[in-house]
Amino acid sequence: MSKAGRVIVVTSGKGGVGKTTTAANIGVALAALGEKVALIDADIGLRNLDLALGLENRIVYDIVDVVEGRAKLRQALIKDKRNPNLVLLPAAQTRDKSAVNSRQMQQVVADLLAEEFTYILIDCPAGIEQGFKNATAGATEAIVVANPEMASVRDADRIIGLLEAQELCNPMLIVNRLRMRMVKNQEMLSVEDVQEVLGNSVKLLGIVPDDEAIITSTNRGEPAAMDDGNLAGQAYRNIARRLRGEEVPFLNLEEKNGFFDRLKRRFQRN
Amino acid sequence: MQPVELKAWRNGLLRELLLVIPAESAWQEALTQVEARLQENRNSLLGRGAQLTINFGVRSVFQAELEALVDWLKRDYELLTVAVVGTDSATQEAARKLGLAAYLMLPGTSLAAEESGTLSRNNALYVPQTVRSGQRIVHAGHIIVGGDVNAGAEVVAEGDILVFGVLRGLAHAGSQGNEQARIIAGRMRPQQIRIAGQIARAPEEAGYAGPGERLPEVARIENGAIQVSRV
Repeated sequence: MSKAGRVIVVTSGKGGVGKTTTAANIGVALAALGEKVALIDADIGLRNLDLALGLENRIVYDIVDVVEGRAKLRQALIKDKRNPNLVLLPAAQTRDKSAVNSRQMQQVVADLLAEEFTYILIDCPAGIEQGFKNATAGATEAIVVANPEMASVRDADRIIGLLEAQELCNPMLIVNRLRMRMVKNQEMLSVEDVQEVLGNSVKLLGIVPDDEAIITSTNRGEPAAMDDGNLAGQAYRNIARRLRGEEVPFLNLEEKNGFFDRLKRRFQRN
Repeated sequence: MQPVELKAWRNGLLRELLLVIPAESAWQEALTQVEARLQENRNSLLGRGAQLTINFGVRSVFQAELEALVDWLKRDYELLTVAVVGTDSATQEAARKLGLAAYLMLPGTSLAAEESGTLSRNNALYVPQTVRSGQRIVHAGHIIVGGDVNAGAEVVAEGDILVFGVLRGLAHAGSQGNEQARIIAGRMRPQQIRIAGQIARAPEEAGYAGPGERLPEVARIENGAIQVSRV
């Protein structure tokens, strides 16, 4: 028996801050590092993670089919088309959050652990209701995604309080969609501002810049972390390495907007 | 045997409902009585979505029992259970697991028999960590917070409130009408402060409270209005 897998829920409270994109990219990056990764889409009724991974055409069974006994877990797992280390357990689109309860979610996670996955990432729905409770029920660690804006930080704060009540203490923080230029002009909260509010029980796992590449890659179903040519993808790959315990310095996000700067960056990387 | 009671009460500035379930009766019997009280008061309840505190006294309640009760009250009566009062540690644990506030005694009850006893005013609650958004701490004496009080969090004390970190949320001191109560914070950036029946809100231009110097300030009622000054 290999070492026990880690079960990490990706959550945020507020919607639209990039939970699904984050889960997809970390999953892809971890799989590229040789980890055996299972992604669970717990956003039942609002299925998205399959799109981010470009696997929407391959869904036959989903998590509700598994918990209701219509399919075996292995039948429902969809292998990623690029990396066989990565599988997705999709959500059902035609049902809602009440279709899976906390105990069933814990059972699914236990079954995945028995399949010797080293990382199980759970994409949590927005909100603090039953869907959130179910998604966090099986997890032993949490990643909180926040955008550098007041509404997102306040909701992250609320979520951290709820996670602590569920004994998911010391969550990891990803600050997503940072725009360095706006921070410099004091038009956007800085990473330090966000950390100041959320306190030092929260460990900073990564900073992801606001990058147009994310929008195009999510639409194409090719997570940015697979592509060497963008900063956000680099940030996600670094996050995956930090998750595995490596010390990786944070990216220098000073904005380089000119064409030559971008060209230079492309060369510097190799 | 003491019956189950349902009554309106004031929790700080809020009007809420209080459900008292004495410890003696069996759980099923207690639930039957709860239903009877709710039916009697069906029309006079505080309206849809009223907030409810349940006082269990010394009764020990399992998490599953409490969860079923809370769900039932919400589903059938649209009563939102926000807090549980009880001295039993299992009850307290169950309440916390369900994300409810858990108190040892009812906010507003003083320790000493007489209302104005110095004992009750010298009864402080120490909260070592940061109070996060959505959390609400209510106490019959003073409250001392070792960390911050974040935006969206509420701290309600009958006595004074002392926050070592940044006060960004709502603080209500002297919640039972004590106009001598004060609020002291390491950094005063609240959304709103309340002392007794007075309410003051942050100036509009104050904006976001980022990292900055700690400058302890005190809020108190002077000449009938809340004033903030340096300690």
